[in-house]
Amino acid sequence: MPRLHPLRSIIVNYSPDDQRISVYGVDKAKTETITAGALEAPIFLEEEAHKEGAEYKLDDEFARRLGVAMLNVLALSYPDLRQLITATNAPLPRKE
Amino acid sequence: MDLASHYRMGSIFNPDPEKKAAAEAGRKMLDAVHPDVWERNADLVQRIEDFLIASFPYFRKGNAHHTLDALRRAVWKGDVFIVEREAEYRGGYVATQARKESGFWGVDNYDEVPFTKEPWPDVPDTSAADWDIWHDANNLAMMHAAVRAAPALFLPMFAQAGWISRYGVPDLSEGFAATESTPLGDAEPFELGESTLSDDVMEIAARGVSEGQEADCYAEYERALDLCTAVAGPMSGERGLALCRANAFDNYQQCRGY
Repeated sequence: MPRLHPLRSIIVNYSPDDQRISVYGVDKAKTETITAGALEAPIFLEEEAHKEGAEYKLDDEFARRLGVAMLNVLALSYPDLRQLITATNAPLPRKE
Repeated sequence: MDLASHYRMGSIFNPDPEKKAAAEAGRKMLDAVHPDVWERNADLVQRIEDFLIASFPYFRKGNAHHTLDALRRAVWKGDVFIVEREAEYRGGYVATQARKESGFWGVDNYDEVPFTKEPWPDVPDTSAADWDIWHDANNLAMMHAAVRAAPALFLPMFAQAGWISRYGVPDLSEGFAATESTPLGDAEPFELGESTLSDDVMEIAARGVSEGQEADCYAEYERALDLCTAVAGPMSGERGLALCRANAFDNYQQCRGY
């Protein structure tokens, strides 16, 4: 029986001093007042995820895209971080 | 159903005399017609309306009077020629009985009434859909140019006119990055607008917040578009990016008091 977790949102932070990316899990209810006024950049599984039959597969490429997107957003605020990113920015084709 | 068949007068400077005469006769005939008689002929009005819609993308539907008036004006301007199909009736007197049976055109089947249109030389002479594409391309280019030159002025205008929802939010961030010579590359757009606009009509009509706040809102809007681009970079879908830009624009409008 898996443990029950509350609904959470993730806050990803970067600290340039000790070059640390922090991942915060925050109760979704608490974040809602913040996200209500914030810009949403939606990522649709329908567009980005691999599909096998009727099911989406969150595969390596999907995880890579999501990760690069997070780094890109942080890099807007921290140009030094931008210098460190060597991951391919463009979507990569999936091997079939 | 293609009414806009190939009726060409020859060159503008050297028209085919016979065809020119036929078109002249058609014009006179149209002038001689009592409009109210045609207006009661629902079939004919419908056919004319279909023809006008297919031929002139800017034509807007109205009542029968409006439709016939539009046809008359198009004929007067020389955009449309009317040619009587049956030569034997041209200019001649038609017996009452024959007219009653066959209508004004001397034909029973109005599908074959040869309305013809002289196509303009510099625009596609094809379907209404092609016209739409042609117009959309022009509109899109015009909107981008205008919004680039003076975003504070034109963004709300295009938004209220429904162009934003039709064509999407103009992509300012990438456009600016791509060309160095755009007036807003790194300049203050609102100072430009203030110095070049002498009257304050737009200010009164559109301004919801102060000049300084307006500038802040626009700067925030540009940053928001940066974020959209950052997330969309590794993504392959279009919808996510489009929605992000729409969200950014909504926030921008809200910031400006709309």
